[in-house]
Amino acid sequence: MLCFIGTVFSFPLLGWNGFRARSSQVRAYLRNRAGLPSLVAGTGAMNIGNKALFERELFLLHDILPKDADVHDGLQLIDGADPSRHVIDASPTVPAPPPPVAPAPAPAAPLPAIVGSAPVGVVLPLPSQPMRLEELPSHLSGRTALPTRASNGHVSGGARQDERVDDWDVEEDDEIRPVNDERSAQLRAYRAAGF
Amino acid sequence: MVSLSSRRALLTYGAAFYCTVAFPCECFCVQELFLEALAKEIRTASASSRVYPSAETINTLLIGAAAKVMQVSEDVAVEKLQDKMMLPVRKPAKGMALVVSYQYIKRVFWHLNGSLSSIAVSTFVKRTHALKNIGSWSTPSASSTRRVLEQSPEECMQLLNADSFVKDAHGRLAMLDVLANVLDELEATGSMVSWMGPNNAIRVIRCLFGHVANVSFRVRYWTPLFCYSGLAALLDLVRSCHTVFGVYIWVQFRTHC
Repeated sequence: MLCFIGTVFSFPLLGWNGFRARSSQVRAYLRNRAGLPSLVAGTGAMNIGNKALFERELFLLHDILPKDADVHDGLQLIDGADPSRHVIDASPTVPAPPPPVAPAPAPAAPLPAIVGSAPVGVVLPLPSQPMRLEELPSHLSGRTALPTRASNGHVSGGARQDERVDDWDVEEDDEIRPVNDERSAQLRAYRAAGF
Repeated sequence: MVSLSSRRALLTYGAAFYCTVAFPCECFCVQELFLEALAKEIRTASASSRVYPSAETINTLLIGAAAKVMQVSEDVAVEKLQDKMMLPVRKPAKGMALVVSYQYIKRVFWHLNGSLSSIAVSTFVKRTHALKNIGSWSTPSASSTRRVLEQSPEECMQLLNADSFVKDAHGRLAMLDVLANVLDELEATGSMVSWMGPNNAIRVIRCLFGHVANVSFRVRYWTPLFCYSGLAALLDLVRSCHTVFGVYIWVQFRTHC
């Protein structure tokens, strides 16, 4: 009851933004509880409204609805036989003729040894200046730096190191860590990009 | 729920009223024409992916409608649409204010979208109630005489599970009625719905794949939202905040559709 009173009377105090934040939490909670995906996920800065939902529905229904132009249960899809009926920006509305059999593709160039690197014989232009990652903001600079341990085992440096790196133990070993937390992963991504 | 025809009547009435007080009625005429153009665009889409008009299509239709009403070229219409006009507003107080006109006119699309969603969802909930006897009638508040048909979260999840609302027999029947009602709202009944069989007893809806998707996504997304807007899940926690939250979620719904 107290909780309820607090919630009710906090609305005028919270103002519109607080109210909005709280209500969107409710909304997120409800969708989350029902196991539904977030409504705003995937939309950028522009509000594209329902368009994304519609496009997704085209894909979902493609496997469900009959794939011909006959009458089924009182429903006849004019472009039902069109194999690209669910594809966005598909111009043909009539069933397209079967595509001509393509000639056997030429033997592919040997795959580069490193995934993502340039194929053999292609010279990539060098960057005009040595590539450098932007400095982290000062309050974050300790996060990705590996703690340097002194000989007595204590963490050197008076500054408090990040817990994610510092308080790491065996039990948490199988925990999935974000890539940017690990130096080696960063380095691997950097190498794989061909630099 | 305001149907297309009555909304058109309201717009005409608004035009007549504001003409008498010498405010620009062009805006209302543009809205009316724009609404018709939008409905026509959805009705006569050439491909499934165009059944839901894109932002570019909406802009083109809007400029076309404005140019026709103002009897100017499209370039002039574009400039005029970005001018401010004295138009009725609700905030800060009910009255008139200078509003950028295209923003005012463009709302028509969201209104149309909202009424399509509301027709789709209400038809679906009513039909599933009749066919499968799911959902229950309740009153939004003790003093209200309005009765609302709501499905519980579990019922919604069952319907959503493995797309059973479009796949199983009852769901298909309900979705066909939803489709028929939405097409009726778009004034496409004459061109898309026909009756066949011995006594003209079998209804056949002949439409694009995209038309089906256009109504089915509304049912898929808004039916749970409508049901949760009653906040069945949160009622134990904040019982009397119901109205506040419900209204807010309703507002969110309106802005999303």
